[in-house]
Amino acid sequence: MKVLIADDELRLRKVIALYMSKCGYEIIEAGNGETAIELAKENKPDAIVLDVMMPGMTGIEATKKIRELPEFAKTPIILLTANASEDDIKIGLASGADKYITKPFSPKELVESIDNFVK
Amino acid sequence: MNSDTLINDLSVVREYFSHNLRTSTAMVVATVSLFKFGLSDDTDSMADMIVESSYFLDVYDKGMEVLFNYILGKPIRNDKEAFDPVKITGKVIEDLRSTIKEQNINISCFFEDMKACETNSYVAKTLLELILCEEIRKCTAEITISSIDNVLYIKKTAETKNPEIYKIFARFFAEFNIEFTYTLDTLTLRFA
Repeated sequence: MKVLIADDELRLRKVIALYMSKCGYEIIEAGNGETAIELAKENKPDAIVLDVMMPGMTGIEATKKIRELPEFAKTPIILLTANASEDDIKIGLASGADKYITKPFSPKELVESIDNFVK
Repeated sequence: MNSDTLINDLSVVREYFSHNLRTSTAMVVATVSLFKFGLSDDTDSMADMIVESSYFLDVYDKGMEVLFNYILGKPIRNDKEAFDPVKITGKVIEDLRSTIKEQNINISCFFEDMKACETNSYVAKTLLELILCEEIRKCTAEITISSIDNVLYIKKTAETKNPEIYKIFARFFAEFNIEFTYTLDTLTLRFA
């Protein structure tokens, strides 16, 4: 099962990717929203994890763009963010994401969320 | 400071530090999860990441304190020793060596005619540490740090967006006769 992870925090992205790959997922990594969209088109992941605050295109903007593509209409999208306010969560979910996880989080929680969507 | 500026400054500072404190904490939690489940192939590297995340947390906590005290007009701590930007830059690079290695960053330093400065050394040190942490965290290629005639230049090979909080840093530095200016690829600190 393929999961695309986009986060500009390289160290955090690598740790999450390592955890998820050990859990049996094939991981595709992106450092920003634009690259995430390109890699999604190329690799057709089963789930997409996007950090909200990335340079250039944010995770919310990327979510909207991905949702416009017919092949990703039903692909689970999870937003990761350090913004924890209710307004931020509402904006995130309104963009088309399926779930909103605030930092700090346990990678186990992320894996369980993805499992709930795709298994 | 008028009330609109005060409210805006408080909001910018809260957002900046909340984001960075949560991100650094996320790094610790995620790395500990790897250990907990016995999933790490390189325990030394993972341990270094936790240590450096703790360093980031310390820098952000001290930074938040001085910024809030400045904005709210509260007394600000000072240290007795002179402010030495070369020494502080070297220490930050040393303290973040694992991050620099993991992100494959090349940092070059060339210092000439840089003297220790008489200023509020605690504030200057804290703000310089915040700037260096911000630039190293965002960097994906190369940073050149140099000085000529008591001006410190931090030059990035890849342009990166500067955080809004740099405007507040510039005003804060100015209170201590340090001019902080920045473009997409160069940050400049001019010491009196």
